[in-house]
Amino acid sequence: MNEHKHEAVTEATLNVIASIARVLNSDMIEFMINQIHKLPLSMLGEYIKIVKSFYINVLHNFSKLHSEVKIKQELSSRIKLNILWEAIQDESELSNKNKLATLEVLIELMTTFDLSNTSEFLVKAIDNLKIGSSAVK
Amino acid sequence: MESFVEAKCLKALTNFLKSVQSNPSADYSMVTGFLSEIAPTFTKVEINHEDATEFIQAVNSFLYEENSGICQKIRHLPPSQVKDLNEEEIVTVVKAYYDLSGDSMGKELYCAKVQLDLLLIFLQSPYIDKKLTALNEIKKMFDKRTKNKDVPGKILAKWLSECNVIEYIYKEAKHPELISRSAELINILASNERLEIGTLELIWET
Repeated sequence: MNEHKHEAVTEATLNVIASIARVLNSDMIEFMINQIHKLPLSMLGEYIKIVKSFYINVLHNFSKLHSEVKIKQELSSRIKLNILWEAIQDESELSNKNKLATLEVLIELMTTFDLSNTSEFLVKAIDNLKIGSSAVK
Repeated sequence: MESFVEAKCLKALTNFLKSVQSNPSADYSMVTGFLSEIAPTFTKVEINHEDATEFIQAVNSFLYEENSGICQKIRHLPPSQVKDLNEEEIVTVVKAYYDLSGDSMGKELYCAKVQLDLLLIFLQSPYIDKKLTALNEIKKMFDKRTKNKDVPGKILAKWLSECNVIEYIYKEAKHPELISRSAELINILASNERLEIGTLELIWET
């Protein structure tokens, strides 16, 4: 398979995964989240918008099954936003364009999901500023 | 069309069907096209007509005879012939046969089975447009029949699962257009509790 077709297949597959996140059961959601978290950072950045769609559809899925409080608890334990944090650090291999896109997604997810662990990123950003690095470092 | 039946041409049509079956180089797309055109007249055949019984048997044989009936033979047709076949025409003939033979119980189910078998063959053909049409038609069948008790959605979901349609799309075909259209089929499996973790593993491996 040539590279162009391989990329098209990858993108189509990730879009399907994002789409079906609305109908998967709990075990399947867990499986997919774990697989997403194993993606190389470069790939994560490349397809960050699809990853965002996946998480949003997971939220819709959980909303059908759980109360608002339980959703927050379930998602906090499963979605590892620190992976996105790592992707936007200066040392990461992502292009600046993909870092910016990933940062926007991270902020949107923190806002949408209102997760309990988001304040740690504010602390990290301030720590970066203290040592004279960009806040996202 | 009506005069065809009234003019006592049943015998001629019966012989025609028999000759097609015995001809290894018969053009099935042309024959099914012709039959689908005259299929509406089948209901005008009088069952007590002297040639009716033989005609009904000839249609049955044309459709279902082992090795020579079109529903079996299509599996072994060369791809170039499969390309020209129209599954709607074949299903029209099948429906007309069941109306003609008076075997209307389960007609919708039988016709759905024939249609699905044909669509699977089209999906596995080497032609991308045939594959895409097959996927679209499968989806349409589900949309139409989820409310039809004759062919419940769960039967379609069972067919999707047993024929490994998702596996074919992700393991063999691996075409972005087919993959894009597979989400709705996966939704069908999930809503009928036929989606397994193994399928997700397969999708991820792609």
